[in-house]
Amino acid sequence: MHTEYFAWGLKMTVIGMGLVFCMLGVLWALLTVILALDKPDEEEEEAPAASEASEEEAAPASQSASAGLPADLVSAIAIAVTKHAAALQGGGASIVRTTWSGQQSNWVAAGRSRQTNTWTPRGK
Amino acid sequence: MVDQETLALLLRGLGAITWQSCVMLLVSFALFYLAIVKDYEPLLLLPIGAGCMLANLPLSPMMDDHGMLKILYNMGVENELFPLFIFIGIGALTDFGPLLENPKFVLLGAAGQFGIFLVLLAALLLGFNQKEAVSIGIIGAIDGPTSIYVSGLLAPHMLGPITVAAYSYMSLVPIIMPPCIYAITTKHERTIQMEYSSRKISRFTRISFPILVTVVVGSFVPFATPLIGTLMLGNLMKESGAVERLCNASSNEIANTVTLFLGLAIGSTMGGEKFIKMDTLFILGLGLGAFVLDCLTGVTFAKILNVITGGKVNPIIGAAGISAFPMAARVCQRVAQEEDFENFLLMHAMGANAAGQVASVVAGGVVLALMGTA
Repeated sequence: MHTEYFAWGLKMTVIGMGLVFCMLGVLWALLTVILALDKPDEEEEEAPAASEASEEEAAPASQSASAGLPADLVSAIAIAVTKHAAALQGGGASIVRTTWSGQQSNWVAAGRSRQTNTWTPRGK
Repeated sequence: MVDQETLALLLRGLGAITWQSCVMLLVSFALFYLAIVKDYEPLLLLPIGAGCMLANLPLSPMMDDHGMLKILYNMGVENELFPLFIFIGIGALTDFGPLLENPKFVLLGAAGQFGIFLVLLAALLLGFNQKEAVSIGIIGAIDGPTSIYVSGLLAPHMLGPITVAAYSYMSLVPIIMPPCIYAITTKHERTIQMEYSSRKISRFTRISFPILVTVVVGSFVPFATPLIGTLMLGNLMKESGAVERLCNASSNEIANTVTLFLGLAIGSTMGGEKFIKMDTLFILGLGLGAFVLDCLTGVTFAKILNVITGGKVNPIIGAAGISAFPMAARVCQRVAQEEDFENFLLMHAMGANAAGQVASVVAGGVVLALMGTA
């Protein structure tokens, strides 16, 4: 009786896991197709956003580009501007704002770190 | 003076106390302890403990045909309504974004279901019949509502211990999972860093996902339709943003109310004479085995992926391919950081964990389909 049941169980295991993998494989394929179809819109959305950002944040770079400066010089200026912003952030006292858009404040970083570390049940 | 008959009536309750009911009262106190002091799944273990206590008090009128606990059981457990309501709430609370960013991790969710079938075999060897073995195996889905749904259909007499095991082990993820990971991974494997590129998922894709999953899974495995349909309904309400009030109600008021009713009804099935059996110990032991096997097979599958991809997959995330969302992913991140503080696997693990959520529901539907039970 046990042998018969066990054989049935083995059949269940093979067919069951096979079906689970097949179902999720089909799902994977469909998701990949959907994400691939979705890509063009994503690029379209990113393009204007990128151009806006370049107008707002990298004004010196675009002006330089219009002035015919070489690309590596423009890159160097962009890096210098970024580093300057980082230095200002470290200064703290000289400015009111301690974080810049797109960067994570120490408070937010600490909070997120704590979120990932609170897995131990309370009372342990 | 009180006559003998009146005295007998007054003491009828005390006279009906049995040693089984005393043991079950102690079990209910243990559940209260776990819920209140240890904070292990308190939302469910506390009502289950209360249901268990109320059902085991002598001559409890709450267990009569018109008693509250019996009515709750008939209202939502016997006909499988409560687990489905809870699934709507879970869907409304779950973010499948990490899975959509890395669709290939869907397979890790599938690998995390091996425990169901391996424990099914073990249960058969221990002498359980086929329906009971499948019900015990489904604890390996590490998903409370799925366990309740499947075992309610196949082996309602085992609903109490199966539910307690499923929810207890879900809450013990941080304790059970790390040793399993350490047991079969090397230090080198645990320190593998995985590149993460945040991918913008459009609203269209987020809305399409629940619809697509429901249609595909429902078409291929009709028995899974109640489970996947309600889970994805909740997610569709969340992602569409069109029915914020319904979404809030599903994930708060409805889910909370149903959780209370479900807990009380499940607790009421833990009557001493039915619960105190050797089978209960087997169920608890096999449930633990299912969970451990899920972790081990998930990590092993991730190791295989690591070899196939040339060392780009950290095997730790394989353990997250179960349904305990998002606890399993957070534990994986914790284990990775214990080896290398700058290793951030959280989003990859969340992808595998979201896949585990879908895969456990699919596995539940598959076993019901194979058993020919709707």
